[in-house]
Amino acid sequence: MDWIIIILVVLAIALAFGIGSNDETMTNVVGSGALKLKRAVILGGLLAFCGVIFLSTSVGKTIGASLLGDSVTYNSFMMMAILLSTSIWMIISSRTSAPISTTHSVVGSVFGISIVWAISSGQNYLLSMNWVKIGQVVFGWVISPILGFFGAILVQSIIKRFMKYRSAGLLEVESTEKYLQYVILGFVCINQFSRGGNDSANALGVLFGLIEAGDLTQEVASIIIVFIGLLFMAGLILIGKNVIKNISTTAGKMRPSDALAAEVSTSLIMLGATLFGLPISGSHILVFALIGSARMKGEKPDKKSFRKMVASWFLTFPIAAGLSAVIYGILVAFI
Amino acid sequence: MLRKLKKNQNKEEKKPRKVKMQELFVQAAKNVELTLNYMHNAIYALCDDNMEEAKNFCDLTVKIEKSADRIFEQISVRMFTREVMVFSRTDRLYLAKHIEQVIDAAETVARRILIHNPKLFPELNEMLKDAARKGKKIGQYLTQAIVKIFDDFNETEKLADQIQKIRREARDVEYAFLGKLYELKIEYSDLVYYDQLIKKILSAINKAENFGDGLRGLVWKYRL
Repeated sequence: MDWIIIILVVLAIALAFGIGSNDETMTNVVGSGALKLKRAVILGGLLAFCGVIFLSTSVGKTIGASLLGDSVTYNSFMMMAILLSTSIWMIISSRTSAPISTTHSVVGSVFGISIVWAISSGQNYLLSMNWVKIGQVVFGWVISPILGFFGAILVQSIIKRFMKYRSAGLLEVESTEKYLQYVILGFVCINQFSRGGNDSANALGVLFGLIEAGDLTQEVASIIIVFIGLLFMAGLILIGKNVIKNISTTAGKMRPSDALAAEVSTSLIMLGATLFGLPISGSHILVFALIGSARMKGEKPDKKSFRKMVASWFLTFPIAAGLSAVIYGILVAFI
Repeated sequence: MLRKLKKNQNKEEKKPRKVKMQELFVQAAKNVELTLNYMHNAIYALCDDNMEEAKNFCDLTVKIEKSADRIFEQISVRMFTREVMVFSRTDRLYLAKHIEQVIDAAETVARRILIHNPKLFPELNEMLKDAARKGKKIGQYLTQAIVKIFDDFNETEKLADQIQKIRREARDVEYAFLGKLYELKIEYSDLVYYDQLIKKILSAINKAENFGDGLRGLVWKYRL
């Protein structure tokens, strides 16, 4: 195996560890007290691992092989540029605590390398990308938060009606909430399983690119997928637990009936998108679902945080594209 | 078989049944009623010039306050176990804390009764007794309101309204009492004693009313 392939595989595995470290899916379960932190992260890690093994292929293929046009042949430098630009942008945004989507970052990076490819090979830029697939992905990005928002409103209105008949006294409210806590656990498990598949595809996409380019065999790729699953799980258990602990201290004040609407909406959309092979951002759906659920209760979101999130959402794609274009350009020019 | 039964019996003897969190709240609530009742009896005894009986009731009030402190400690410790849902912990702590505050206020009245043996005035006595009756009534309603918040929000709200109504009446009694107090031109030490006593009684009643308002707030929060 070529040295650059080894570096790419190591980078992909490291990226999987990073994605797992930032996975906050189990927050509601810990915050509401349904599961202790230790059990929650172990369960989350196992579900994410299963998600990587069973659900990541279709989304991974979309990112790694289907986004570029038929006339473009993947090469190792392209993969290197995608992985490096994604990692750099993730580090920068983590330092500024801006919420970003790894998915948007990876797809933006693919976009960036296609521009440089078209320029360096003198080809028509329009042929460098699979525009139908790009359209599907962008449609997924736009529609998923909207669906999350309206889905949460719908579920919240159903819960509100249900809770009306189950709120005679504090004890009845608590017993109902206790029951809903376990319903949430079920949906969180679906969400974690789907996110394992969808988010890990950002790291796995490179593998499918390498397979397409003939640099990697299917057998070796299968072994690497298992490693990526294990590293995703390790990231979630070893570092992700701190993220979950921090967020759950504030989210814990939320009643399970308040969190349920957002969780149902997010998990079903995430599962659907993963089965359809669409790379989407779980965090964005969750944020919009929470806004929808809060709206139903007559609450308004914090405008400042919302603006910051939307700004980082829009900036991620062009910045990742620019970074990958620069990195790929340097690699092509000097190596 | 017999050995097994004995073993189980021994186990039960060694390990007393753990009181449910709910029962602790009911005990704490009953202490509110009891303390305000003893405060009422002590004021009646003072007005009837029976300082010995007044002292007995004051001692009982102090005793209840100590037991209420222990219940509060037990509730606080168990608040962070799985017995209580995370979202309602702060509200349950609020309940426990305010129960303690009302009991503390009633205990302050009891202690103040004993610090001086004032000259008695029939006009003031009647009003003092009236304030004490209102305090006792508020204690009963507040206890019911605390117990009812766990299974009947509607009833809690009605009781909170009643508490508010009695508190308004008690405030009228306070001002009438103070007016009469300055009219009588009594000795300075007695004036200060009566002035402070009525204020402390009203302070207990006000704390109970604030707590009633808090209970109403909890009802609005939890009832959709």
